[in-house]
Amino acid sequence: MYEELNRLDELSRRKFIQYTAKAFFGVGLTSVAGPAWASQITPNTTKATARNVIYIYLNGGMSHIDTFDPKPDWDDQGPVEAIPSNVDGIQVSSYLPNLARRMDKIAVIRSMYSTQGAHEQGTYYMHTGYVQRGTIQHPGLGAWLNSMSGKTNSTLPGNVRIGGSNNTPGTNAGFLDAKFEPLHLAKPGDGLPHVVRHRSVDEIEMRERLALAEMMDLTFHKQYPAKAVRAYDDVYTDAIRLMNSKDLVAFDLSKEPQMMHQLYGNSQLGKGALLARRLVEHGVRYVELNHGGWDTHNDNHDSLVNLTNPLDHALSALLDDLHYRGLLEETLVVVGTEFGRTPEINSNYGRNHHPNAFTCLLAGGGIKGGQIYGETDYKGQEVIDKRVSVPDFNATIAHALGLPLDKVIYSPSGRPFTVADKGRAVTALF
Amino acid sequence: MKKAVFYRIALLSVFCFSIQTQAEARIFTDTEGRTIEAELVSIFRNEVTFRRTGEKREFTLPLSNFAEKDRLFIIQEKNSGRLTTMGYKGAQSSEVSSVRKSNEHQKAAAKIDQFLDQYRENGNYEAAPRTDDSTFLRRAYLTVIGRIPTYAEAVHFLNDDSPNKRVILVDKLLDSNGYVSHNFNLWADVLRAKTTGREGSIYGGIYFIPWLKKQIRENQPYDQFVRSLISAEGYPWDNPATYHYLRDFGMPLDNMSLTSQVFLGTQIQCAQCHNHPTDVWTQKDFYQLSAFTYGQKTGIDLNRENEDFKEFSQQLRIKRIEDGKVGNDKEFFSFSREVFLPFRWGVVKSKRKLRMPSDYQYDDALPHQVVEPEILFGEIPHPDVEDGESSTIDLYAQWMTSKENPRFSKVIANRMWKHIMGRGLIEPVDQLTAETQALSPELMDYLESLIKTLDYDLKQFQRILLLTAQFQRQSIIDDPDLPNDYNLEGPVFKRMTAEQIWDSLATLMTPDIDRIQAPPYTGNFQRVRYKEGAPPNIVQLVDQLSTKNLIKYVENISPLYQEFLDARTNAAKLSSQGLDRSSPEMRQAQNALNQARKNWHKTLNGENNSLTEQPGMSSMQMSMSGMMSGQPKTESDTYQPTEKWMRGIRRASELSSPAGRGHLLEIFGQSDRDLIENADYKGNITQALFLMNSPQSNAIFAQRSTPVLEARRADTPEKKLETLYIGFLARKPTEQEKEALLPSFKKDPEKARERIIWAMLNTRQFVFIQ
Repeated sequence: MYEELNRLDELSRRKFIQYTAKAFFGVGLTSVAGPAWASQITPNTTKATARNVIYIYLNGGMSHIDTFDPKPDWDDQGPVEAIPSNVDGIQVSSYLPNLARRMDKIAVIRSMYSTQGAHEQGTYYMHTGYVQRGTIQHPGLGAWLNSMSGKTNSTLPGNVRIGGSNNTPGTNAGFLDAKFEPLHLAKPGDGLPHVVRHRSVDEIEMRERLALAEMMDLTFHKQYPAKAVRAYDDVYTDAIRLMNSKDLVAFDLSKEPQMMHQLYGNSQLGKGALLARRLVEHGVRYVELNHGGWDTHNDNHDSLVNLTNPLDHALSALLDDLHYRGLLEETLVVVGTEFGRTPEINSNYGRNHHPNAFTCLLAGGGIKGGQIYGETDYKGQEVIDKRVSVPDFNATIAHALGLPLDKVIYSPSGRPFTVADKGRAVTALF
Repeated sequence: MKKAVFYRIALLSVFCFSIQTQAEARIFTDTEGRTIEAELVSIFRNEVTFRRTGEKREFTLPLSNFAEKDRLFIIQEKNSGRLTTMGYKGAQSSEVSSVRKSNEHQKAAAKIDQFLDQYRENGNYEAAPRTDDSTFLRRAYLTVIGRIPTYAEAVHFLNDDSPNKRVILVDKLLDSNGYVSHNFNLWADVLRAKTTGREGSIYGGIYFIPWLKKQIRENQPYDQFVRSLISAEGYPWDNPATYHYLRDFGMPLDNMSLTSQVFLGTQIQCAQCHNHPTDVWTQKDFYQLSAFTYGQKTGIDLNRENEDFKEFSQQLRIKRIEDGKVGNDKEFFSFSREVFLPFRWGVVKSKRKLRMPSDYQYDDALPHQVVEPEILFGEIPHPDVEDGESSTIDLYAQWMTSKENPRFSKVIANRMWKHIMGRGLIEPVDQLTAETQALSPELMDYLESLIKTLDYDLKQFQRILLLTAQFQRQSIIDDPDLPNDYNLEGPVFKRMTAEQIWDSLATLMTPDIDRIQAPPYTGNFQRVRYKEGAPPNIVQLVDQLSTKNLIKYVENISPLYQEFLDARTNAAKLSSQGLDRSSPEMRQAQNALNQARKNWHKTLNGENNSLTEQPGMSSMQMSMSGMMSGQPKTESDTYQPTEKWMRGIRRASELSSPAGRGHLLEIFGQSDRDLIENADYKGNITQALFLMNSPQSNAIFAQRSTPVLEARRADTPEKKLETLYIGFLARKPTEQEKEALLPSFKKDPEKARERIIWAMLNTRQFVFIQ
């Protein structure tokens, strides 16, 4: 395009720029007509049981034996007790009284194991299904989903991350296009900052300005046709489209009645879960809620009281809410973490990293609730039945979404990759 | 006559090559737009005396001769009391160590260029051409001090005719405060330096960060710097380097693998649980290396490892028995431990031995077997040094930082190369394996030997790289998807870091941004307040009071603690009776609790003035308490989309680390500093929305940024336009741009300016470094 531009004389070049800017950004400057529900989804080879994902990621490594895999007879279980749930034979820890009454909706995988024992590597592995390498960035599940089967709402981003850090390992688009990057919302209550045009700027002025910026960059673009620069162009296109979306209200938590806020709880996780539901309702397909602080090397039990409380409330409210709105059937709710924690208590009353065995949850989206999958030994040290690897877990999510697990996607450098790195879906969960 | 002085000085600059730069130097502009680099000396009424950089002579000019922004600056310095008739204090407390200059540097730079020529010749690659002055200017500022040049700085450089001006610029930048700021950002990412959360408070981040800046300011040799980290012990307020261990509190094995990743570029964390699947390290190697640092124990047992507390408890016990208070003494002792809480977080050299894990699966060792320390490669420099328990860690530090260590020098030389040229000769910089090969192994070897010759003086090393022809070449795209597309043709084309973007925006609003330093950092953990520059209150008391007076103090404050506990019990009791929150009883209980809690916190942190008259309190302590309660708190650095944004605007290095959630720094990808070098360089929608729709882009920069103030003074539309371009993009507008923009500028200058500034901020060239 820029070679062409250069051949034009000055006047036609200027006109051309004006024109391209309009064509380029025009999409976003006037709203897209009609709802775009489901129109962009490509037909899948396998039948999908879920359309959306709400992934609650517990950053730091959730202690499995203090939550969903309690070991009442184990010496180092500590003050927490195992309580019965609304499903016969399933016990959870007393930190989770509300979830105990909703276990019929949840499948608990107690036989997770990881090969990665450090946070960065473990988090990356959970999100991408691949072991971290210095030479390539693998895409996270949200980017895989959007690139393989498209968006539901054409004006909202298809991939959103709420809370946590903007640089959570493995959650970005990796070698896929920048347009699959998650939109990061630091604080769920803040909505989407600066999404409205400045009051001094109208639509025409906006176009003029965009065209002017394009012109200033003419030589620059010619000299630096870098991927990173082009990615910024895409980002601007998406940003303008978003500014003009009719569904911006999805980001506005103040539209929820007070009762809803109370149900989800006032915690960041509660607000995040409520926002996730609003986003999914408006056609965002993949929402990750990142909740930190689970790295309980010190004072494990005291910390867990404060960590499990918002989880118990927020997740319970989310499951009920999705259920009543008829969204739970098409929305897969995932609770994941990078590893478990040691059965033994260390000298700081904490528990250390334990990738050999941990627990993750799945609910909704075609998952059969009220079941326990896999088993650990008497103290939660090792998996003794139905081992589920991290790629298997990701494959299970991909399977629910109807993504082809065997389809090879090539990175721009020509290397072959598949979603979930040859993991096998645990079909018994559906 | 007064103008003539400016003239003479402007003329002088042509002949002045070997300028000895001072940390205080600043560029001043007169009302005619001429610039000089000078430092303030004094002020008498409205006559300002200053000294031109590199000269001894002083000049005096009336204030009215200076451009508006300089007048404001001088008045501000005068009003703050720094500039008086007697002299100028400036930012003296933070004098930056100036770079050693040697003719050898030019030779070394030439040698590097030779290696590069050779490399390109062998591979038949073409070197990129030399950049023009504006590109060089912008890149030099961003690379050495991490921000774009101010309008005055840019004009000063662009109008300078000296053939040597690039060298002069590099030297000036290396000696400026901005160098400290920019290099701090690099190391804060590498060392995960935080001022927030537990890391900031109990792990000592708020003490470590000023210390880290000091190391950079004083240009501490890198090997010494690393040794102070590795051999650190004590409490962070006494020895801030202990943050290195405290940062990974209770995780000595993780700490060791992160340390070897950072300083030796060797990743062995996989071998913590099993033999490394892709590298040569075994689990036994991992444990043997860990055995060196395992003795540096984080966490101090008050009853056994803190002499002050031991003495205190003993005396307290005696006194309590004498007073006949035996009944509830268990509670009292637990209370006194509460008071001594900050003493728990320190590093102590212990004799504890590392053992193999209980599930060890290989034949070369037994589970639970004690592990003897053993290095990974190379040799321990002085294996005969064995004077008791303290030597293990020293041996380790010596081995790691030895010139003989095959990876230590390589890693830092490569890291610095990347810092200046945008990409390491080896990538990633912290994942070396036996198969690792540098782009040009000959050059890598040379850089290694060079950094050893310089005794790890990083500033001199950077200077040499900056003097190369390579640094002055046009930058080259290195597409991460195409592994072999970059062949050292020039430096690498990159997006700015989040800090560079933030600092550049800050510079546009506050040209003297480099001088503004962070107010003292504070951190809170549970009830204890930590504050940069002083230990927590109880630590000060232990230092100042005799054991007898300390006991008196603790007994004196115990009723306040009891009041707090009682209030809490009372509120909890009412709450459990199902009382409504808004009921008067409940409210009263809650208020009482809040008051009691506040009292107790204040007391614990020495901020309760009524207590300063306690017996045994020294006057020093009294004044401390008074001071502390009066000190402003560091405001939270969350992003405020209003004009507040401008007040107290500081460079990224002077904000909390990392900046808060939703801060512009986070949006542009600042590292969370939880993981090593976790910064991100990609675009995202939030960035675009900020740049397009924020009040900053639409109003604040258009009304109040320095280039705009400068442009107001320019008399023709051409000049105005040029001023804006230089201020924001460090270049002059092209002929096409002038042709396209001048008509609108003549028609409606206000609107044109807003539009042009908006557009410049929303160009790609603004966020990328060419």
